[in-house]
Order: sequence, then C-alpha cells, then structure tokens
Amino acid sequence: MGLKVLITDDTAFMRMTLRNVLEKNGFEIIAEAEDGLQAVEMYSNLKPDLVTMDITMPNMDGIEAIKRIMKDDPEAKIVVVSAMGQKTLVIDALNSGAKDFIVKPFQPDRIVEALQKVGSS
Amino acid sequence: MEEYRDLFLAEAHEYLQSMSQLLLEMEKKPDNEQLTEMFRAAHSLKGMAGTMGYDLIMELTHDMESLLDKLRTGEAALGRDFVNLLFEAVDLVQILIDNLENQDHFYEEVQVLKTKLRGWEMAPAEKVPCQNTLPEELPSRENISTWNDVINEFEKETLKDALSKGEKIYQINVLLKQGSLLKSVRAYMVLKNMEKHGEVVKTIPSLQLLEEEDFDREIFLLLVGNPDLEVLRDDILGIAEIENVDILLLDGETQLNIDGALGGNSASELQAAAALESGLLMEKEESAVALMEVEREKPDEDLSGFVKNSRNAPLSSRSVEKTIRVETAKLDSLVNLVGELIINRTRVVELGKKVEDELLDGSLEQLERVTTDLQNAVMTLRMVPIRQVFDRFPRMVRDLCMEKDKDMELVISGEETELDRTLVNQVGDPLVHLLRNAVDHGLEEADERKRMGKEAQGKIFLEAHHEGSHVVVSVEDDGRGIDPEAIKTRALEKKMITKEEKEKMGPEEAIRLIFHSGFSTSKEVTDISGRGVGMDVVKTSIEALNGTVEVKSEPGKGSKFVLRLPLTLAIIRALMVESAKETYAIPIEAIRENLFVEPEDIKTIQQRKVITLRDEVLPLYCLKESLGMGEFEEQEVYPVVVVEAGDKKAGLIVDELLGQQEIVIKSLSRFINDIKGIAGATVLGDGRVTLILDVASLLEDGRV
Repeated sequence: MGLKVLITDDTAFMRMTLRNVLEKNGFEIIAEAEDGLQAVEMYSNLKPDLVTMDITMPNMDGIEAIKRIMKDDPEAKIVVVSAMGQKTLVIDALNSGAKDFIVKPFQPDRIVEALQKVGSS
Repeated sequence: MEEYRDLFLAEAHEYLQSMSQLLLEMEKKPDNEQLTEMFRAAHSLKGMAGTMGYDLIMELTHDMESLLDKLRTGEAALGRDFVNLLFEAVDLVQILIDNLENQDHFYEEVQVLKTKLRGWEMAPAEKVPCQNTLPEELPSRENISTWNDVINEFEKETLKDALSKGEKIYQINVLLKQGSLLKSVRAYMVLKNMEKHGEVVKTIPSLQLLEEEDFDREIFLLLVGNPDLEVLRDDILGIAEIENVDILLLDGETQLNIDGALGGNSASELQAAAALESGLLMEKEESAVALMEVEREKPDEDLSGFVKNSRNAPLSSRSVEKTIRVETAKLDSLVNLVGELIINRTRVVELGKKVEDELLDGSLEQLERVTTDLQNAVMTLRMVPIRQVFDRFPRMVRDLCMEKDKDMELVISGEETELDRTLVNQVGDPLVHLLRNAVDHGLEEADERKRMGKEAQGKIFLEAHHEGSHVVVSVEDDGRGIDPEAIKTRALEKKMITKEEKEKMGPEEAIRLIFHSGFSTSKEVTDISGRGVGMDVVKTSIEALNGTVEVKSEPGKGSKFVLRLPLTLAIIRALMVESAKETYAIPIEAIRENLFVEPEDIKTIQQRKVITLRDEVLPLYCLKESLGMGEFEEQEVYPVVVVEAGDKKAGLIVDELLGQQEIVIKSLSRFINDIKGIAGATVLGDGRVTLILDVASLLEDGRV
C-alpha cells in the first residue's frame, strides 16, 4: 500500500479533488479533516505518513494546526495546500514546520510531486 | 517603419546622451568601465542605424568605435583633443538624427569627420603611458557582465574572508518549473534549505526582486562554504516545483576578480552573464538571510535598479525606470479633459448647494474628493525630472571653459526633482543664460583666484528641489560676485537712477538693477560688474512662467541666482476682477498688492495717470481703456491691482475685485492665440468663459 495521507480542507470539493488525484497516484487516503482541530485529533489517532493542510479554515486555522501537530510529532510531514496570494501565511506555515507547499488551484502532477518528495525525505 | 523610427529616435537620443556623459566622466577620470560602456553605446547605435538603413550614422559610429578601439591598443590616449574629436562625432550624429529626412545634406561633413577619426594620431605630448586599456575581450551585448560587476565591496570582502578560511565559492543555478505559483516563497525555501550548507552572499535576481516575484524561472546564487554537494543538491531538488539545479565551483581570483584581475570566459561566467542579460540589475546592501523576515519598504533607487528587459534598455547597467512611452499629445488631452471635468464638477457642486439635499450633498462631496485626487494624479503624469534639462549642461560648461580657458567644475544636485513637462522645456534657456554668465563673468581668471586665496578650480552649483507647490532651481558660483557700487555707477551712467537714488540705494536693491532692461547689452558692464548680460531676459522669461528670480551676491565670494517656478502651468491661482461688466482673471504671481485709491490721489504726468505709492511713482492704467472696452469713468474710489512684470510695475484700475480662485488655463485656439494682453481663457464654475490677462504685454505700453 502507498503512503497514508490525511487531507485537511474545509471545502468538500477540494477534499474530493485531492482524494481523486492522490488515490490515482498510489496514495492511501486514511482520513479527511474539515478544520485544524479535527486534523490535530486525527493526526494523533491515525499517525498518517503525510498531511495536506489548508490554511484558512474555521475553528482552527492551518498554521495553528501545523504547530500543534509538530509539537505532537516533530517528524510529521505536512504539505501546505494554500490559496493564491497567501505569501506571508505560507511562510508562517513553513516556519512552523511544514515541509513544502503547493498553491491552489494546483496541477495534479505538482501535488503528487510535492508529496512524493516530502514522503521520500 | 514609422513606429520603428520613433523608437530609434528615442533610443538613439539616450545613447548619445549617455555617450556625452561618459566622455565627460572619462575626461575627468578615465576608467575601463566607462570605456566599455562608451564602446557599447557606439556599437549599439551602429547596429540600430544599420537596421534602419541610416548609412551615414552607421559609418560614423563605426569609425567612432574604431577610434575607441585605439585606446585599447595604445595607439591613442585620452587627451583633450581626443575627447573633442569624439564630441564632434557625437554632435554630428545628433545632427544626422535630427535631420533623418535629409541626411544626405551632411554627406560632406560626415566624410570630413570620418577622415579625422580614421587619421587620428596622438600628439607627441600625449604619448604618455596609457592606463586606459580595454579589457582583452571586446565588449559585446552578449557578454555584458559577470558576477564581478554585481557584487559590491562588502560582498567582495565576505568572499575574500571565506576564501582565506578555506571555504569555497559556488554558483548555484536553480530553475523553477514552468507555471510555478508563489515563486517568492519557492525562492525562500531554496534559500532556507541552503542555510545549513553555507552562506548565500548574493542572488541574481536580488533578494528584493525575488521577494517581489519580479523574476522569471531562474535564480542564481553565490554560496560560500564547504557543503557536501550531493546533499546540497538533494536538499534543493527535494523542494517541490524545482526543475533543475546546477552547482558550479568558482575560482575566486579569476572569476570573481577578488584579487583585482578580471578573468576570461569560463562557462559559469558566461552563464552569469546570460543571467544578467535575461533581466537584471545592480543591487547593493541586503543580507541573504533577511529575505522574507523583512517586509520593509525599499528606497526607490533600489527599485530603479531593475531592468525588466535589458534588451530593450539601451544600457543595462544604468538604472532604467519602469515606464511606458506615451505620446505627449495624449497626455495633454487627458489633462485637458480633467480640466473640463473639474470645471463641470464646480458647476454641479454649485447647483447642488441650491437644491439643499442631504443625500445629494454627500455624493457631491465624494465626487469632489475623487475628482481632486484624479486631478492630482493626472498632473503627476506630466511631471518629468529636471534632469532632462540639466543633462546637457555639463557638456556646455565644459565647452565654455575650453573657450574661455577657465577651469571649473559644475556640481549638479537634485536632478530627480520633478516638474511639469512644459516648464522643463522652457526653463532651459534661462538656465543656459545664468550658467554662461557664471562661467563668463562670475568666475575670475586663475591668477585672480589664487590671489584671493581660492582654489584654482572654480565651482558652479546647479541645484533643484521642491518647496511647497514650487520648484526652486538655483545657480551658484564661487566667483567674484557682484559689486553693488559698480552696478550703481553703471546705472547712473545709463540714467536709470538719479544721483540721489544712488546715495540712498541699499546693496540688495542695487544688485537687483541688473534685471532692468536698460542695464545690460553693453560689453563694459561685464568688465566692471562681472554680471548683467541679458538678465532682464532671464527675469522676463521666468515671470512668463509665473515664476520669480532672486539674486544674492557677496563681492569676492560669489553669486547665487534662485529661480522659483510653479509645479504646473495648467492650473493657477488667479484674482478675479470685474471691468466693464466682464470678469477677468489676473495670475496671482503677477500681483503685488491691491489698493483703493481716492480720486484726489491720482495725479497726471505727461497726460498719464499716476499715483505715488511709498515714494514710488506708479503709472495707473484703466483696464477698460487698455483693453478697449470702455472709457475711464469718475468714481468715488478706485479699486487698483498693482501688477509687476519684468522690471515694470503699474496699477490697473478695475471696477471691482471679486476674489481669488484656482483656474484651469485653456489656451485660445490658434486663430486668436496671439492677442496682446490676453494669455488664455478659463471657464468658471457657472459656465462663463473668462479671459486671463497677460500682465507683461499689458505693461509694455499700458495699451493693447
């Protein structure tokens, strides 16, 4: 089985898109989180190999979620999937421990590449 | 072809300007860099002219190029004659460019000059060791630059330090994938991942441009340290959307000129050069770590260092603003339309006041704000740096000095100061006048300077800056100054003042006499005072622009002329007056004061009305009569506007003073634009057309 991925995004559409793209490329989607809070919880329960993280979400945003997950597991591999024009937020996320980022709307091969690169490091 | 020609003209002009500038610099302090750039300018000009089929220009620039080449081989040295000859060539090229349609008329001149350029031989005296060798490789557009040209002293030190510690210098070329988004963050990741491998000393594009995402897909970095190259490579390739990484070891001595020698063309250097070609810059200070943490605003000069597309920029190493060329006619029409809009807005606002509706008031206020902003924005479009005028002065002063055999330096500052395009065109001549005077008469001969304990080399300071809604331009010299006594004596001789007046006159007032029209023209004046040639012309032309001229001078120390000009000519403040039931606008700059005159104070001298105002006899003109709109009528009291233009001053009797306001100047159509006494027209808030008085022509004889 491929690497286990936790998808975090507040829109169902984006979660579905990510799931389709990643499953086609051999990743295993083990869970979908709708906000940061769920993501933190699911991470500690499921210990996925990779996490995709949206930034702007209700309840808890992606940055805070990254910080908490990294605290929980310093080895966590998180890839930010951000909307356009969130430069400072993306940098915050990277400084908080995210390994890489990709910008929505993404080209399928780019998210796959990013996850593969991070997953193999 | 027409379009190409415009582009050619614009660029050719820039090249010629920069060649003149370079020649001046080279003459002062010879430098390889300037020679290289000069060479490139000639070369580019040749290429452009060739493409356009301007053969004469091509031949001429070709020979200039060959002559410059002789500097390299040592067959020529940079002497005065050499520079003069090149100037001559620059001038002739300019003439050819100005006369593209009938270049053939200058065939003879071109041939003569070509012979001179080709037959150039050094005067024996100039056969001194030549320091101005060109670099081994002739510069071409394809190989403009190397790291060496973009790293500054500080960075060079860092590199030197690193080398001495046994570290190595690497050039790392990173290529992003096509269509990458948030490239600035990508670049940030690249830099961050490199941190543990060494220190990034320099990036091309600069950190600022990286941060602004002002780059394509390539990033070149200069890294010092002793990294494990495989790990470094993997660390960069491990980032998403990185297409390729090349790591090259650089040799500090030959490739980075760290010990003074500029090396040959290694592959990496060529790559760096190619990088420079593909869209770069000259950058300074900035440390590599600071990329994203720092969100501060950078000074403008840093921004201007960026050349979006160096192939279109005549000289990539000079700073080029991010600009587009717009036909001036379009700009003028925009200004005109905004003027119309302002007038209409005023009308609507006035109507709105009558309606007294709260909602309407609110939106009218909003409209007023927006239109005012729009007006200001459009006005700045017409602003150009005064550099456009200043640029030709170093050359002019140099030539003058040669002619007069004087030694002096022109120090220019504030050339960035912006003012209205129309003003820029008109302020040139008065400045030429002032500078000429400074060289001609202001500055003493060398031995006199020595006697006065001054430096042998004279100095002229040309300066410009903003002051409120005005631009102030000053011309100052450290010459002999103006002697008020000599001026007074001269004025007495000319019967401009009486003996009595001469006794009473203070030094400042005396110096101002040089602006009187009767004062100048004579040659002797210059011998006595060192000043006074055509100063009245300067004053009149500056006043025609609604500006003022002041002079300060200290005998033996020098003189300073200060021109004060409005920022724009399109909109002025004016006093509105009524005469014979018509409203007229008088530009506020021309007005000295307003008076109410009693009939018994009006005297008649030689059948002309005058009043005595603070011991001064002031002629009075009835505006109605002057404009031929009516007869002088007896009144209980007369409102009088005291106006001044040039050295003339008079009172204008009007029917009523209505108050001040801003007016948009509209020029009269060309069939009626030459009417004496009228400078233009404006439209008032209520839609009425009002004429703007031209005070200077009114005062010529009190009649139009």
